[in-house]
Amino acid sequence: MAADEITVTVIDDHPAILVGIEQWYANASRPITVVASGSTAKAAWTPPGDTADVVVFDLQLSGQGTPAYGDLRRLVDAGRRVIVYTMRDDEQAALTCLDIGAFTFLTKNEGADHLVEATLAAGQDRPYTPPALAGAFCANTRADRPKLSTREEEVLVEWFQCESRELVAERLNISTRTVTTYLERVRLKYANVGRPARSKAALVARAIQDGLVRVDDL
Amino acid sequence: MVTDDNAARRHLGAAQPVRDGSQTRSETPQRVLRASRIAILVVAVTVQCGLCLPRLLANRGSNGLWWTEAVAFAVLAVVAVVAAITTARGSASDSRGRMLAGICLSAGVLASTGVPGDLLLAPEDWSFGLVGWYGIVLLFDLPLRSTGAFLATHLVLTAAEVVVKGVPDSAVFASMAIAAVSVCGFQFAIALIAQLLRRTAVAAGEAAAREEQLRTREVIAESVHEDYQARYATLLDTTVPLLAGLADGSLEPSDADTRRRCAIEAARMRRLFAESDEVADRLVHELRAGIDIAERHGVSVQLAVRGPAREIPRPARRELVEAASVVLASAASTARATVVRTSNTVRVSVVADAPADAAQGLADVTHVGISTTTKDTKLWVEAVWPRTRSQ
Repeated sequence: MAADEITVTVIDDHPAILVGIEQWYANASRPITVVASGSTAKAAWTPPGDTADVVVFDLQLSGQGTPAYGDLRRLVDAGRRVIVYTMRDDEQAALTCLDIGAFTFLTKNEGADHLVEATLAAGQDRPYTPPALAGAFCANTRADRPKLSTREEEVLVEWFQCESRELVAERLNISTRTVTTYLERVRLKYANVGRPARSKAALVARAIQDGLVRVDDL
Repeated sequence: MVTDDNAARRHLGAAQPVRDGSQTRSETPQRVLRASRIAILVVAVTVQCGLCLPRLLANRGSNGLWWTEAVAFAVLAVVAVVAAITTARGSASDSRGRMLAGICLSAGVLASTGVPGDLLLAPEDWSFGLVGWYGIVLLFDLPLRSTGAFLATHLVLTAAEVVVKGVPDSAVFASMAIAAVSVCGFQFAIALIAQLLRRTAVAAGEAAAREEQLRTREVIAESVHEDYQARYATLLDTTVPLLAGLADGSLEPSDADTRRRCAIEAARMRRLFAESDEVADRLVHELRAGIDIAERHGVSVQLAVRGPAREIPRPARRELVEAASVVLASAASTARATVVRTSNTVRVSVVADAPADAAQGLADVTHVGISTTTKDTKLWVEAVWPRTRSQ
């Protein structure tokens, strides 16, 4: 096992999704290995899935009428980095998952690029804001919504709309690197509100270490 | 969307007379309250002219300070006239009522200055009962506690006068107390009844308004239903011949023209179904019509919506949908349409692999702001409502 390899447990009840995810990971810039998979959260609690760096988690498992927020919370409380990967495309689900302490929220129609990038980011405790999540942030009216700057709001909405850093950069006349920085900072502001979770603390600690934010900013 | 306009006009036309009706209905409780106020005023004026005036004239000569009584009587008569005018005009105000009530209390004190201590609250002290009646009229619109406080103040002032002029023997004092309790108690009971009447009237008014609202909604729903019926009927004129032609073989499914006609009919029907099931989110439903057409041309469209549905004026909504439809119509293979609604703005955006000149026709908008970005083969058009100055 290479030192920089990221291990993943995939919880999803569709075998085709698992095959697709493995295929996407095979082409990643860093090695990502799916060490375990299953149709229930059990796969993430039993060897070999219990030690994986990242858990890719389908919120809507078959046989359950409601989203598996309870399973998500237990995984987060155990200190796991969970990427919620779901068919659900509504902002309330996204915001609830983030509040519980999910690393990020991806919809299944966002495709390969975002899942690979999100997994790489999660492996290093770095923030990642896919477009669906950015859209949820834009429309967030919850009372504990973090305060965002006008520019941050603009970047979020444009990123949600076009899904392309290049287009956002072109529209707002900034560099793609700056677009990424804004998205990361927004994600960190969200890590700093709501229910405390180890995953949120790890994100903030890493961001401070990387110089992405200062303690005073948060 | 001509039929939509007609429907809206018809809704308005149908709803108008009903709404007028609700206004007259809500006035009924007001009329009841006004009538009771007039009734109490009539009682007060009758008491003043029928009971107090003879007593005032009889007191002439027997009391040393008769002029104070005459002045107080005149003041109370003026108060009666003012109360009658404001009641007739419906212009009674709380502050004026309080001020006049204060004047009444002073007039009561003034009227009884010349009355000997042992005759206070007796028939010779004519002002005692009269002041209370005017108080009820003047404080009619205020909460019950105002009338209560007024009567209590009146009693305290009278009691003070009794004490100042020397407390009489127990038999006289007892008859004074009985007079005070029976007069003020009766007047307070009248005020209480007026208050209950007010509450009932308000509740009745609210119930009537609710009933009218329901009726208006029913009328609108009925009119909308009729409108859909009419639209289904026009649909039949074009859909039925098409289906009949396909069934009897006179129209060939492989023919490009037949397929185009089918696509058009399907889009019309889908829009009709969509509008009847969920009218609240018109923006998304109208957007879906454009998406359907693009999909029929082989374009894969992804739609993502964030934020709850909200009311958007029709012209602005049309421009938002138009901007998206233009880009969707010129997309070659893929497009992403989004709707973002916050409390301040509504944004509709489409990113597609479309020629850059496709968005040229969108310059002529007045209600929304349009931004266009092109990069490589991508065309991105975003329409924002409301339009900001910089746009």
